[in-house]
Amino acid sequence: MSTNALFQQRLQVVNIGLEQFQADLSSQNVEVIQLQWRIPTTEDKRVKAILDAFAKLDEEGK
Amino acid sequence: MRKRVIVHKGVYYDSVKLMLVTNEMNALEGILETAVVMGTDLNKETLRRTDLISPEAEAATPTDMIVAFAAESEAAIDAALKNLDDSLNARSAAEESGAYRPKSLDTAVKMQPGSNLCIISVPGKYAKDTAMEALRKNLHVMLFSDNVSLEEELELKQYAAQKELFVMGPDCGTAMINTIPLCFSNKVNRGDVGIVAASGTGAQEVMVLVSEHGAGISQVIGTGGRDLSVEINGLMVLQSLAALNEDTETKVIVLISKPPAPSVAQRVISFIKEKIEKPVVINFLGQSFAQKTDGVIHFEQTLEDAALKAITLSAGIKKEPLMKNEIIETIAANEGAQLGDTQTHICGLYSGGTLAYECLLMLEDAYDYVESNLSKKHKVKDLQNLAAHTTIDFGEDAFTVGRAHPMIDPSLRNASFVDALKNESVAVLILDMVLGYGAHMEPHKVFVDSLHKFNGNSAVGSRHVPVIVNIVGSKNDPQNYQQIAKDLESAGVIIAPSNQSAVKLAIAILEQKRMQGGK
Repeated sequence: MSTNALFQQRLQVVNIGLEQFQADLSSQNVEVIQLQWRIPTTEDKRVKAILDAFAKLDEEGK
Repeated sequence: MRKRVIVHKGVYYDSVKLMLVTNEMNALEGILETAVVMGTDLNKETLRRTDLISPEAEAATPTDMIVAFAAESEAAIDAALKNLDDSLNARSAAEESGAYRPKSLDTAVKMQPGSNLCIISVPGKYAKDTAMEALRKNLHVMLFSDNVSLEEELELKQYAAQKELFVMGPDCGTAMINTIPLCFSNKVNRGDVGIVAASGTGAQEVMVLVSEHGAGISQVIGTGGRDLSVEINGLMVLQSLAALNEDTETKVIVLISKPPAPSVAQRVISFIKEKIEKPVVINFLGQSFAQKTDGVIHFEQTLEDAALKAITLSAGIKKEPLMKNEIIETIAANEGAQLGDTQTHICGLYSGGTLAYECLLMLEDAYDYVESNLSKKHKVKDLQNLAAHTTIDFGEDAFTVGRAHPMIDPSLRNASFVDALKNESVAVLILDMVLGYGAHMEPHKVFVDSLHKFNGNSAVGSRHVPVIVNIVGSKNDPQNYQQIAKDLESAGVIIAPSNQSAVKLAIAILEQKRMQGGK
């Protein structure tokens, strides 16, 4: 995939945060899903580091 | 009068939701003033100014919600509090539609296979982790959130570049991908001008001018305002230029930014000369170049000039400046003659940062001393009592932590507008009125109301303050462009066709007053 591949695709959006953006896209018939975002329950740096490490392993397919 | 201030610890609602809830509470019977805000420094400062603060609210953090009421009675506050829960928990139209809202990005991409773009507008503190998660899932990112550090931005953009993904942002308010306006963006005609912008309202001004004056837009890629800093080194600008070079729908490219670091500007120019085959119009705001062209590159000094050059290259139409000098002189002579002796300063109150910056540059060209929150030389000394030529960007981070952007919530800017109208030294006021998706549906209304009140107030005497407005909008935007222009004109506002012409006109009015000697 190259950056400009996006220009050949139909936009499908995940919106995280201000709901207005989701409403605006929906009104233009763009496929959009709104995430129910909340402030993370933990701000413990060690826990975040462990979660990041898991995410990396997951990405590498391990 | 009764007051009550309550702090809810660890509660988060987005700034737009809180603004709407505040407006609902203010409309209730017996309520004199309400603030429902997150506990940021800016919001606490506003509460202090309106005397709606308490020791507990002083100790609140940005992840705490402060609810403050001034009311005619305790009963009115009790009734408002009952309404408050309903308002905060009111389901949006999307929720009412029954659509399930996933709590994780994992679930979201499973529910919507083929997702390719993630728009992120969470508080800055959480933005980088959220954006990184989206990139890991191979989503392009539009990062609306501000207050993201340079280190975090670099990490995101380096990672995205490896995966050939866009990171538009941070603090990116404007983009248009495949004709779809994203966040703060206008509905413009489709065409072959592609825009790369390290500037949100700069992009909006150019896309609207191009579309309204003879050409159209293919893509608008926002890069975030710091992309051309030494630290980020143009990572996303170069990626975007390359993408538009390959885009078959794009014939002309426009690059807009504040003046970059010289080494980065050189890197961008070299990159264009080596890799880009299409004409590129560069507007590094206010930066002048010895030559007007260099290979495929066309250098332009203002947003209007960049838009007009793009139209010429796209449609082969040679365009004259949008406001002719004779018209400027005629209006200036009429307005200048009505100014009083005390009126000596121009004051630009902007919701758009790039427009404010363009105004600052033009004022600095004309005058020795100009104050601005964007200026490195002269910061604004007293926001409530402006005493020099001034331009203020109300969208700057300091004004938007924990509160909605001035294009959504005009209240802070309007408060300054009212102060400026009452200020005897203010000779001319300039406003931008940004329309489009994301923006307020009637952004002009509070200003028109303030103007009517000012004009009907005999206490300020017969002082005339010309107000010049540049409407950054297209006839296809969700707002009613014609009605907005009509309402503004009926309040005596002068509508300028671009930011450049608005500032030129303001300077000409003051010059006419000087030549005519004032009243």
